[in-house]
Amino acid sequence: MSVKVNIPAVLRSAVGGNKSLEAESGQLRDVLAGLGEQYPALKEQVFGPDGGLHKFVNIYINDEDVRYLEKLDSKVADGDTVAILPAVAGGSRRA
Amino acid sequence: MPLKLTIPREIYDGMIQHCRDDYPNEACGFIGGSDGVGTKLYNLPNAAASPIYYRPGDKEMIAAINDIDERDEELVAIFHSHVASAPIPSPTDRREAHYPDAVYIIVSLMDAENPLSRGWLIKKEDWRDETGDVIEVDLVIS
Repeated sequence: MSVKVNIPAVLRSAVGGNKSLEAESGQLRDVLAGLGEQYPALKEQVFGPDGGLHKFVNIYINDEDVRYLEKLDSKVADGDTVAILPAVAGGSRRA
Repeated sequence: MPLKLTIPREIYDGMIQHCRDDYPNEACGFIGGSDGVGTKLYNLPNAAASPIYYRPGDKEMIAAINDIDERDEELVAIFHSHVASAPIPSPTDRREAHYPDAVYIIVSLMDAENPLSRGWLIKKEDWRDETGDVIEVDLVIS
């Protein structure tokens, strides 16, 4: 078994139009690094200048936000689903 | 890029009702569809539970995105309410918009009896940018 990684519409052009990708299980950073080798444009957009997750990119493992798990050290097991999603937020707040 | 989004009356009414139900907090949700036509409404909880900010609940948001994918449709609109201001993107709305192909619908409940909705594309050079151009999209209720 492996890991399923769901790709949002805005990132599909970076992965040949795929809606999802298969990856080897492991730490999240290794899962993403593996995909990044195959699809450098994906890696470039998911990570920020400091090497961490870009602040407007949210990643979920089985619907849990990895920022509340162990971030890039989070474990991804066989059969898990990883979802990459641009952040959704806003509101009438002025700043 | 469509500068018009068609929304069936029952979806539009369901969106307005969701905004009213969550008042005095902002409400939020998605509309799935294709080719500039909405076909399914996804009312989402506002995890921020705030009158000036929204952030959809994670599980419900992911379920909606998965459903849209399974239906082979697109996220055609992201909506939220402004409970005390006009349906125009605020600085926060502009900064936190990262779906360049989705119409951002804002429902103003300033006049509770007569909600006013307007749609906007928020285009950025890079979808992760904090600034971009705002273009109005006609909302057509069918």
